[in-house]
Amino acid sequence: MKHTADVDLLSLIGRAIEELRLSIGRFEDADREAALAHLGTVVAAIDSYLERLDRDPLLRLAPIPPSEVRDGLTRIRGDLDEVIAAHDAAAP
Amino acid sequence: MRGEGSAQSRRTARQELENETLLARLSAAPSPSKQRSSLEERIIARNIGLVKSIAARFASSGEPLDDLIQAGYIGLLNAVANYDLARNTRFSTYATHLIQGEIRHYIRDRHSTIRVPQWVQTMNRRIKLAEENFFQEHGQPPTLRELGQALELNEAQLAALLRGRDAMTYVSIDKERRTSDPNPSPPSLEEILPESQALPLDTRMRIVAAIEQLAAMQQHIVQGLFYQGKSQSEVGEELGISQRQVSRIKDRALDELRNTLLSLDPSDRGQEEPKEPEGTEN
Repeated sequence: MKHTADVDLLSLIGRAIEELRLSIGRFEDADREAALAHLGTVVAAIDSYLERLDRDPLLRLAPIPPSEVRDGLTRIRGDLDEVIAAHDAAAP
Repeated sequence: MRGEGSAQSRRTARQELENETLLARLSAAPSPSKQRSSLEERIIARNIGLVKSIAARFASSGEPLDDLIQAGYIGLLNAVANYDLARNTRFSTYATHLIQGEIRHYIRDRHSTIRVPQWVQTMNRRIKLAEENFFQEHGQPPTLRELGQALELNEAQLAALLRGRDAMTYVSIDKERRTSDPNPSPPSLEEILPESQALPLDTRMRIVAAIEQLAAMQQHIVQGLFYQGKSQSEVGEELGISQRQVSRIKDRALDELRNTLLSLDPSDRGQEEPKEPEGTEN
């Protein structure tokens, strides 16, 4: 997942969902490193998007309050961070 | 006293029979139709007393009785909408279960001072659904083993989850426990699954919860795009870009959405790598 600085919200979400599904698959294959890499990619993509959220035309077309999107993405990012941290801490 | 008791049980039996008759007519009524709406209203009106009596049992929660009744009313609506006559449960039993659930849920929401992790909330929804399905099917709550089978968890895992759920969700209305355990925590990873498990349950649920939240956000945006949106020209003007650029961004986003929705389940795709996105323009 390439997280370009100008990706729109729907694209971000679509790709993030795909990455998260792949992460589950890698976990199931016991490839924890790859699974965490997928999660890390999503976190980075969310960070990148949050920096330019106010300039996303889709939010104005919708229109969805940017604060609502920011809160939602920040919460998801926090949850994924916790997963990554828990597995990093449990790593041998 | 015995006479009063038996009169009461005759009334209850009659009420039950009338409920079942109305529900049978409801299940045969076309949807949507005036006949259906009218039957639903009659069933709800007949059972509002049940909601009030159940709500009264929660009076010590400190919430206004009217609000508890309102919450219970939602449970009754759900019961009317989802009740299946073909299964072996009486309507009043099923409705009581749902009404109590909604009232408890309402009280928890009002009093909750702790953050319930998303994955616990997701697991709660699944447990609740599995319980309700089992209740509909068998007319009684499932045992731990039966619930575990429905959720594909073993008893130990499920017990750990339920302990965690109770700690998180009943703390607010159980004052005694709140005093002794003011800051409950969800079950730990070690409690739920053995360490050898490649994908611990809480990790799976957290990721699934993230997917669900993103999907909800996706739906919200798509609805907005089609039903409430500003014009592309307005947005272009606000952002200092052309209407054509706005149009292209929207089209590309919708293409991306289509690809996501059409994509296969990742478990079917093996090791497939995600595709590289195209660059987007502003």
